Amino acid sequence: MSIFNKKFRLRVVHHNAEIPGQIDKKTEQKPSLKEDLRKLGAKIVELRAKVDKWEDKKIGPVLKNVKENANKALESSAETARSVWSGLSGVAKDVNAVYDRVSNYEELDGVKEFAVNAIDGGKRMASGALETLKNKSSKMASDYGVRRSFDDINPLGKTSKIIGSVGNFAEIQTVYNRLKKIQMPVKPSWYRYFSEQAGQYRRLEEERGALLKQLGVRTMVGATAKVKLEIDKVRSLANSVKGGVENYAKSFSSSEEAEYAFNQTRLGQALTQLAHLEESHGLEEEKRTSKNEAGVGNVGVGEMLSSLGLYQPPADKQAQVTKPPINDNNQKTSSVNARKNTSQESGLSKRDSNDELPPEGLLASDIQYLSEGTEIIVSGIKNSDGNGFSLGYNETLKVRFDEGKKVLVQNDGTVISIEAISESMENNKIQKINVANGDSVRKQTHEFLNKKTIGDTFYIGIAKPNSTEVMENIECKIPDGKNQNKNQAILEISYKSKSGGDKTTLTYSEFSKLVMTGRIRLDTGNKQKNGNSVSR
Amino acid sequence: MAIQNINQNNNQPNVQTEANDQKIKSDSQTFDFIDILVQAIIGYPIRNILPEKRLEIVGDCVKLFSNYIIEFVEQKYGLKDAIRLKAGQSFSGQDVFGKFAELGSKFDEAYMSFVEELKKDLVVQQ
Repeated sequence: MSIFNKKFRLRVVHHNAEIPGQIDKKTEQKPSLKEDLRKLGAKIVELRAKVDKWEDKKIGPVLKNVKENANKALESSAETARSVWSGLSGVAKDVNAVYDRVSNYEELDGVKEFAVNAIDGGKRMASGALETLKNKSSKMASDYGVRRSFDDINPLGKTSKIIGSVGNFAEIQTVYNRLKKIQMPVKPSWYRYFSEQAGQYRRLEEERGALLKQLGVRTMVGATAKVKLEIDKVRSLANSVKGGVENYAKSFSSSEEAEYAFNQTRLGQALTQLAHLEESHGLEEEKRTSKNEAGVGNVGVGEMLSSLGLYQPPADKQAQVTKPPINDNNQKTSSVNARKNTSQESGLSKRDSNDELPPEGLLASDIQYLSEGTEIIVSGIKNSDGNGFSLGYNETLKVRFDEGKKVLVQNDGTVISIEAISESMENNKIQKINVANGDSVRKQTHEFLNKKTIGDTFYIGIAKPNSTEVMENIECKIPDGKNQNKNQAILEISYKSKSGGDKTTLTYSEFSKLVMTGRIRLDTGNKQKNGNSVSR
Repeated sequence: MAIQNINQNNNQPNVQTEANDQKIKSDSQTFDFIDILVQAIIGYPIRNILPEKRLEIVGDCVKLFSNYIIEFVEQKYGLKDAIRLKAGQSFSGQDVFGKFAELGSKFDEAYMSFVEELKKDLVVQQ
């Protein structure tokens, strides 16, 4: 029991006291104003005295302060007094019930305020989610060099840029082929330009692929729709939350606890949805690692390989699939040991159950370099991909040269384009592509290289893309240990032709992959001197 | 299931609920005024009065205030205005101040007189 209540229980003894303004029943006379005021004064003094009697020193100043404040409030409440005049008696007679109702109402009011604040928070989150999408789409626009606003998202702008580059590439290729046809020496500067264009084309293709993968769609048109759809979803949710606020606030003024709980649940769901939406559909920051510039900056056969479209995996993919980590080994006296150590320390042995064997697995883009008739095995297809074909697990496809373009053919004769395979890989429908005899090729490559020692020279053939031609007599050399450790390159390839020659380096994995896809034909070593290479 | 029912109820217009809301708001305003009145007279808010004593104390304070106002008006302006004021309290919903425009200023005068009396009491107490 509070000290206040205790005091009041003691002091409330005046219920039968004379009330000013009342008609005296004995005399039936109405009291005068002066008399009433006197009575009022006496009454107040009486009440006050009783209060004072039981008040302790601490309560006294508080009480006085309360009265002063109440007086000030009364002073400015004349208008309120008028408006409540008619209800004074009713409330006074029912004060306990009113007290309970008002208390509950005040309590609800507090809860309502809390709820409205929470919903405001939800609105802010929705708004934030929209803003995030807006900013990220702008960033995408900026990254891809196209003008694009929040309300005018157009990933197709990116496509047009890609198409433009492809156009340049094709044009240069045509010029290059013409020069070749009339046997006009191609200047190194032409190689560089050609290579740059090819590199740019590949980068754009990779960016496009990354964009589509990020959005979980196959085409740029799909990307546009997807982005718009996601934004619409957020908009819709934001509007839903916004619309819910008013209804929620309205319903709450008459609500019961269950309703409050319900609304809290609904609010919680909306907020959770928003959070999920933002997390799952907010376009992730572009993780742009360094792009593969190896094929662009190097002048020589590497450039030539690049210019011919030979596969140069991007830096990030090299790291994942083929490129071993940098290792500063001590020099090895034995070339074999050196190569073994390179392989082991590069992490190959950890990745591959076949110990030093090169890693397996191809990219869809590698298919175009496979020889006609090569069989590949695709794994991971679960059902129809929606590209007009369906595959089973580990299905074997055969490479065919069809109207100047490499395609894949199923057993039943269904023709599948490389682009379709590429899309399926992007969508993770296809998880792995291997050459049918990949294991034996890997072993063959491994054995071939294992026989070489530092300083050994041998000859390989390089297959041209989309062609049956092979550039032969490409001289390769196992570099010395110093270079090997520094560059992780186990092969130094020299290229000699009428226009001159140059050299580049390849890692063990890169070399193996080029052999696997048929771009490099291994020399048996028997015909090095007469310059003929032997295709595998 | 309970949540669904609540949801359905929310979608239906509820006239009774609105009337209740209005009553709660009206009662709340009156209660607030009485609370200030009680505090000004006895120095304690209603919430600090024991529930079993609340009716009695609040009733006394309201009577004190009402009688003073009515008596003041009767003494100064005559019985007619006093009866009008009483009628305003006796018949719920009767807007006597809207009906008798001049009554408002008379009420205000009586009201300020009452407040002044309370102030005097405060001065006396000091």
